Amino acid sequence: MSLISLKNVGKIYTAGNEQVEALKDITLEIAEGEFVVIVGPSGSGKSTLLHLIGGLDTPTSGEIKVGGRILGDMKDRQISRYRNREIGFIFQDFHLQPHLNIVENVEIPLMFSGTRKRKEATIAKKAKELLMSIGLKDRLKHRPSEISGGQKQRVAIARALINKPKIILADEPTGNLDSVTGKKTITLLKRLHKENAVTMIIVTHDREITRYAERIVEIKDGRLIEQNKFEKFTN
Amino acid sequence: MYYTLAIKNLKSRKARSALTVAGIAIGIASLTLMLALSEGLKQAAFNNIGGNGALTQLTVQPKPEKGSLLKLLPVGGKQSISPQIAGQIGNLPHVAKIYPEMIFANISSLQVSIASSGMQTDTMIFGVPYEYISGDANVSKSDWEKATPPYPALVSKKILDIYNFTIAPTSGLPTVSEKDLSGVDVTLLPGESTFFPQTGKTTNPVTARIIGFSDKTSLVGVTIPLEAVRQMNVQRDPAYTDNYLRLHVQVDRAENVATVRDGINRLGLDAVSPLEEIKTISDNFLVVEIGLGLISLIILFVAGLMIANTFLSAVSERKHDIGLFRALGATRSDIRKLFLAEASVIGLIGGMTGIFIGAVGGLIINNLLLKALPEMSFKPDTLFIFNPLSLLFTLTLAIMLSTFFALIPAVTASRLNPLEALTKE
Repeated sequence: MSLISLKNVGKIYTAGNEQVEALKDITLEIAEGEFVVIVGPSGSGKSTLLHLIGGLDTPTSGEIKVGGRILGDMKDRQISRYRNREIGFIFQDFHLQPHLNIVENVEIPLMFSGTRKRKEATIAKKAKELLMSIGLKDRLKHRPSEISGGQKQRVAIARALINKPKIILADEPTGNLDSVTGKKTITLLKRLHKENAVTMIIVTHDREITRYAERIVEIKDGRLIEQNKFEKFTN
Repeated sequence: MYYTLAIKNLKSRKARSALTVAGIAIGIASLTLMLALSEGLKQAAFNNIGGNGALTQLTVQPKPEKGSLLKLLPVGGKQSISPQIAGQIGNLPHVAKIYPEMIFANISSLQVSIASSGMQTDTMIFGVPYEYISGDANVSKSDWEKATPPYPALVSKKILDIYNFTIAPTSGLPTVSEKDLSGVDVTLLPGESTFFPQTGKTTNPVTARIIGFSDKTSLVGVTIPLEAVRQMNVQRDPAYTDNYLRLHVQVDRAENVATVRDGINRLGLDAVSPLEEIKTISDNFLVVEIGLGLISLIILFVAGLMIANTFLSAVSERKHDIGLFRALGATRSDIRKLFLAEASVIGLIGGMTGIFIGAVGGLIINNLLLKALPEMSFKPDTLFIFNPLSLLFTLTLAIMLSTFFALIPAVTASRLNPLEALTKE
């Protein structure tokens, strides 16, 4: 049974008097633990698709189910809890808080998951352990401005994983990194996918990343045009 | 959790946070100062009435005749209290003691020599029993009650201040201290007014020696032993029978003052309690407090608007952070609480800073003002009293006001669309 199910999903944005159809009739199933890469040119609607799965936006038509629950039926508190507990976002621009150190940045999702029941010391310990496991042992007290781009993205990955979510949604995770660092980041994501058995959905226009995918979904002009294994995709 | 994040957010915008805190601090400092000044002035007024002991006292006097200006003059005659009435008052429940005050029937004058210059001035002559002044004047019962001149005399502390600060400077006379006058002999000329024509019989001059100053004695004359005044009245009119100008009634407990006063009123007499004077002062000070409080509240309101403006700008500037927090699982309520936590921290720091500035400012102003004020009997020990409850109220107000003015920005922030906040510039 699939973990994520999209049925005839459409999304129309209104910009002034103009309506832009970002997604058209998308039907897609993603199984638990899959490593899916969504590719497509800029403006094709792949990020929109990611935002809809992450509950950051709502579809204009169709239905999105995650774990059997329809996202559109959820109230603010439920969808926030869903984003907090079940989703881990990784962004192209890292989106780290400049005035917080690395550990504090990783702790943010934990803060919104009911810290009254959790001791702050436990939170910090958990964040440190995660950061150490991805090679940031020496950077714990550093601010984002004091570390490299690759390290920033690793912090963002740690933040996405801190609440042990079922699904990681990565939007152009290597977009702001050089090719070597980008490759290292994808390798790390692949490793974490295996270790944590999370469902990984990566949106990219970098076809090199598709090498790591178990399944590739291609979107063009808001339509899902192909989904296939890497070998078939490249052929 | 919210507070940890709120404090870090505020620290990251030090200059803006400091300015907002300063706005609150100024308002709170002014409110602290004004409340303390109001409390200090009220206390000074209460102390001037006679301290805590006076709260169980009533002054009983005949009801004034309607429309008569003479009611203002403390002269004896038909408007006086007989010993029988005094006895009835003494028998009222809760009356502990009665101290009668007698007056020599006519306006008199006194002659005194101060700093080698003699002067004569009109005066009234009052007589009270030893028990009435014993706590206030340093004199033994036997000295007060001795039957021969020079009689011990007490003068009001306030009359000395009036002389020193109004009469002496304008008339070119030397100022005198309590010490200068203590032990000085004065000649009382009963019935010999320098201003009013002679009425009735006069009596022989009497010598009195000033033994001290009191808050209990009448402002418009000298107070000597009751028996001495009785003798003067008998000498003036052999048919004289005792009557009193007023009675000072000691009630057993403060809460029984009203009952005793009602009993006295039923006997056809007026009874004035310092409690009522305090109530009148309190009522008057309430107006002052409201006035001063309003000024401070206006300052605080302006500071509050500054907070609202700061936080509304912050919502716009921190849209991206709000979007990120929402993406990471913050509910609308979390965002609201985060903003309100920041506002309450600003209120707390602003409040504490304001109270500190107000307290230090109050102490400095107090010292400067008290140094500038001349030494007089009703000079207060302090002009500012910092009541812990008032301070707690002020601090709570700072936090509540700050939080209140951040409410609209907080709600605005919580209603932002997470995706738009995160992705749009």
